[in-house]
Amino acid sequence: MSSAERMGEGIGLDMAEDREDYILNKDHLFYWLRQLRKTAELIAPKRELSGEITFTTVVNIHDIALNYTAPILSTKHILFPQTDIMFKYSLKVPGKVQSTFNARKKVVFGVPSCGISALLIADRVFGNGYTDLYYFARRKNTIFVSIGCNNPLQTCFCYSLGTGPFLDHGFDIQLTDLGDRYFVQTGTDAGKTIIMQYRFLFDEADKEDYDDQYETMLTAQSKFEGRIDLELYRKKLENGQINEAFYEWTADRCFECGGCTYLCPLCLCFNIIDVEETAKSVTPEKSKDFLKTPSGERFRIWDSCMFAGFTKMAGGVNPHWNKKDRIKRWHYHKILYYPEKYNVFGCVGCGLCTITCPGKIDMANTVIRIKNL
Amino acid sequence: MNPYLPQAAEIMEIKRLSKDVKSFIVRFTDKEAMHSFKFMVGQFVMVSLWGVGESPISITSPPHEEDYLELCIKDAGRLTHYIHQLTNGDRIGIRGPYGNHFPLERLTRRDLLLAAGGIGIAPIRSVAAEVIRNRDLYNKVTIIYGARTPSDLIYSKELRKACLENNIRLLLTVDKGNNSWKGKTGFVSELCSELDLTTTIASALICGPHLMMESVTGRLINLGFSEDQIFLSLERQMRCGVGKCGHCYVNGKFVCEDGPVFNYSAIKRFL
Repeated sequence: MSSAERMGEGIGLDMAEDREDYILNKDHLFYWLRQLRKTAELIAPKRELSGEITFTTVVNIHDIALNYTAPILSTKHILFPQTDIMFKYSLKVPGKVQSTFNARKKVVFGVPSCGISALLIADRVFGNGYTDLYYFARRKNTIFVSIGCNNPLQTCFCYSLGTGPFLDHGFDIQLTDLGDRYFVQTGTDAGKTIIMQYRFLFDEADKEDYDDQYETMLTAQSKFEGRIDLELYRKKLENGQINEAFYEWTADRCFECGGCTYLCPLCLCFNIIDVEETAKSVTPEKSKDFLKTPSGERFRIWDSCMFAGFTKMAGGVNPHWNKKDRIKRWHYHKILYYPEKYNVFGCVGCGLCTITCPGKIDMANTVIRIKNL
Repeated sequence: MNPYLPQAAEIMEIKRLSKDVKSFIVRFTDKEAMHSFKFMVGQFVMVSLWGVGESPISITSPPHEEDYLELCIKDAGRLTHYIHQLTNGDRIGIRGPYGNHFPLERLTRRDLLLAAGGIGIAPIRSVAAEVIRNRDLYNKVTIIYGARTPSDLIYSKELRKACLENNIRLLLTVDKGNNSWKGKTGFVSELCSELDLTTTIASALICGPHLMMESVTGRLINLGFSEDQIFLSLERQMRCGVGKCGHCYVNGKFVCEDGPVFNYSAIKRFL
């Protein structure tokens, strides 16, 4: 069973009972997206002036980048924004707080399969135990249209984890680029609905389409060069086969930039902070009242375990003060904790950490190196 | 229900326990909230102060006390420093209780050792109250407790009285005594040599600084305590308290969710 198959269970999302496959002529794609944008915020990969791909709200449909290699950021910010207001507070009525939920309808187009796999794991993290309502308010109002990867990068290793380059389920809609047309698969009722509304754009898939899709899938799979074996890493960690010297070597190469954690679709750690309303918004006449009854907002923001202050406690005690311990902690979290708790690794092989890490001590390079330890 | 939303609580009473520790008796402003708040010994709450932030704080009061909550707070960090400036009638936010608890219900008919170091007495006081309430369920009970100086030994008068009345042995120690201190000086772990518990049927419940817990545990194992009968309450930085934010992750466990109380055999490789 692939890890992708294990994931979709128990997160309360409606899986479509009868899945249907269609064909979408490429000429019709932008028309369809334009229609979708009328009822929901459309988020898609856009090529920035710098050449980097970001998932942003679409203003001009033609800005959508269809053939990109890798985005500069994962898609985690769509459901888990970098800064997220949790609620507003006021000292006038202390404790009377109202949560603020962003529940705007969204369609996210063009997410790679690894992004969808990460989403399914994030569902478990935010849904396990106490349900994180901020995440799920967005989750339930967002439809994900994924595109399988025909041309994985050298840095990708989703195939060895079963988290890509194509998925069996977990997506609302999955597109496969067959050259002149898209093979369209529906995975959920929500996905089916947005196809049914524009059914006239979609043809039913016939045998040739299925054959082409299968062929495309096999070709993509054969393009993965390196075999990154996280299971081997896990076993070595568990058996204590990786010594402190290895992490010391790694720490020597770490710039503490936090890039790996910010880009990783499964680095979901956050900090919670209060931000006082600035005096700017308070008129001089009201400033006296304001000082007496300050108000503000409680935010959560992305945080990174690569920063020294991450584990610092009251009184200055810090159990993971040195860099080596922090790096080890990151690896243990992804390689030991995730499988123990969620039966999947905290890594989907998207390779974003490989692209960004200036010290070449990302997940893939680490695993390649420990192979010989 | 949104787990991140605190509920308003009013400070009813503040007691200064030592130069940097105060105890706050608080009550939820909503009667229904107070009534429905149930917790078990060793659990913690997240305490909020608007504009300052939130911190995990152990519950010090006994769980059967339904009218109020006692929080024993040391002026150690940013939030706790602000909390120390509050006065009666001020309001704070509280959410919880969170985490697991000391498994007293599984320890009946056993000898018990409660060990506390410094502010680690906060949850242990709650444990002691529960043990006293059900004193007949347990065999021999000993409390060992140490602090830096005699004036840092908080709740000591109360503990002495309660222990005397309930046939519990109490051993106190300080790192550094003074002229009026007639008791022991030295680390908490040194008190272990005076224990007269039957180690084969004894369990230990410990909370204190990391080094103290490590040395006490080492001593207990040498005395013959079984590893799975030693329970430690860990402290970590926490932001969410509900197993999401990742700050309290300690090699394989989330302290807020899988702890704060851990069985020694389960976490020894990481301590």
